[in-house]
Amino acid sequence: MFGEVHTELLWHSASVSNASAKRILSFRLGDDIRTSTRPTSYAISPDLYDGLDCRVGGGARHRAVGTAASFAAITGGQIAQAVTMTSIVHGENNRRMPWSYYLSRPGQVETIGSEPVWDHLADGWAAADKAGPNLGAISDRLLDTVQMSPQLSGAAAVRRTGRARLRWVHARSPEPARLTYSLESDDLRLLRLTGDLRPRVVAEFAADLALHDWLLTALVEAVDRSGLETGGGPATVRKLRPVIVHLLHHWMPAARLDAEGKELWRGLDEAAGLSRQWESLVARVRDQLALSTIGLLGSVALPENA
Amino acid sequence: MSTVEASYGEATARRKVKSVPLAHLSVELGHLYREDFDPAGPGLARHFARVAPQVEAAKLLYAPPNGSRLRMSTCYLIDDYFTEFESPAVVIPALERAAASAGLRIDYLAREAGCALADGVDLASLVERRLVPEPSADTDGSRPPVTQTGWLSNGRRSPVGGEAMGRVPRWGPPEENSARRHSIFVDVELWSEKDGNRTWSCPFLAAVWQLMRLGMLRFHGSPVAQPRAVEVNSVRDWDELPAVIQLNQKAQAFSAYQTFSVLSGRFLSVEHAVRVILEQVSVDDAVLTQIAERSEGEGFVLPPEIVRRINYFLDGSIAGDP
Repeated sequence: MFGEVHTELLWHSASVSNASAKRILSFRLGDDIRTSTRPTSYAISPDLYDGLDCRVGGGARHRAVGTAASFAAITGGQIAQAVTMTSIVHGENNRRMPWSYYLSRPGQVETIGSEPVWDHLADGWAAADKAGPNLGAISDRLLDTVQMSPQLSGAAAVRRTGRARLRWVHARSPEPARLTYSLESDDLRLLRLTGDLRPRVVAEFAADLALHDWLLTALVEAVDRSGLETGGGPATVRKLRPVIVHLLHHWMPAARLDAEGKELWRGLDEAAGLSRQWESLVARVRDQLALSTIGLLGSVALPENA
Repeated sequence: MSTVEASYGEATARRKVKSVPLAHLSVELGHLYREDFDPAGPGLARHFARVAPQVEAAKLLYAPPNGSRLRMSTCYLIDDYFTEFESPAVVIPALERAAASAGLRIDYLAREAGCALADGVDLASLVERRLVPEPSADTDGSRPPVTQTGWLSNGRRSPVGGEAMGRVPRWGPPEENSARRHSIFVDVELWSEKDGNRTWSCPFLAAVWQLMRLGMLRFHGSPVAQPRAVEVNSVRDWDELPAVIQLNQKAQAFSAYQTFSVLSGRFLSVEHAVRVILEQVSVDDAVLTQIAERSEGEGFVLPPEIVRRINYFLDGSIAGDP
């Protein structure tokens, strides 16, 4: 299975309620938007589908036809995500079937012709930005639709947090799950998994990972920009304020994942140390706040006998 | 110390889709246009006499595989969307009489306008939003699907243009996406607009009609356009009636696993267009699963594609032909 999730701060000055999130995610008349409130507010759209008929993976030898499934979600009333995925299977038909055939197997594309070499397919897609299908473009459009909602003010509460992409490849196999995670560039992460996992579990894990990686990246960049490294002070605290108000409380890795997903997070976090880095950064931000508070208190003349 | 196995859930986090009662087969006894309606003439009785043997054949063809009793309901569609009709108090008894003369009974009478708007729900838009247009070759998701607003095709349209570049436009053939060697390209007009008012096309409403009969439409998880019984004699206008009127109180469920329609041959092109549309409708997964589980429980193996659950008998001699 291939997938790509895009994460971005909602273009709104404050967090939105689940009721607003429902309106933002209502792309089709009569749709039900699922929401939950614990441990943090969360709203998720039903799956939308996009038709595909293209060459897949690297080398581009295999034609595949079917649909990509995508959904949008808003976490904590502030973080918007668009997830697009498709499972590639080898079709038994030697020609393109009527479209209803593919629509009755949603979120899946079937290759036409000889069976692909699966490893090559996965390598090709993971490596090349241009190898089809372009799931990133579908996620981008969906996230744009969310951000253009009339429910939103149009400007994000924290400036200079970009849109991050996480691309994943999952090859199903009977062995226990294995994963590798890498930072390909400033805005692109790559997750490769093997193991006997359901596609939905993988997609939800990938979205959760993408969200927390995005949070961590935003915090790292905010700390860099704040001048904390060069001594700190009131200006630093002022610069960190939006991050403290709008981002810090969103860190809840694996909160909504099932047992399999939690296991994946545990394994990954052990290797990549995301939580350790987050906790250390948050501690530094809080220390800076404490120092700044002490400084302020020192500048106030205390009454005698106090 | 004891360990507690805990789980947490929220009602709003679960997908809830209400089910509808389902028969095995929904038989459409005809489709009536204003110009075909003559309550006094012999046309209606002749129509039903021609239809009756097909209903008997359908009972055999679509019977449950395990030998249990067939649950079948009959329906009839009135076109009150494109033309004005006599009052329901005139039309409905005349139809019922004509059907009875051939030994048939109309269980449900549906209004074509009810396929556009039912119970305050814009059914046609609801279905339109669920279209997933079929991709032409070399569609990799980079660009939004190529659509012509208000139209839906089964392939790639003829190239147009060239003129703006100062060249004479060269004709190229359209291409059916899933052609078998040669193309049968169809481009269906879904609606037209005049002064901001949208008129849905006959094939589009007929596609909605098929989805209603297959029990596949939901609005926020609840069924829409469900049949209601009304006292027809006191009704003057078709608009006052529900989308589907239950005429027979003992009838089997209106919606069914499969549909069978006996239609005049002139509906062939309309039904072709209906199939082009239904090929591209993505029905709610939860509804499909629900129907699949129930039908399997009764020994039915339904085709996964909804268009394959729709069956016809087209007859050049029955009412509706010019």
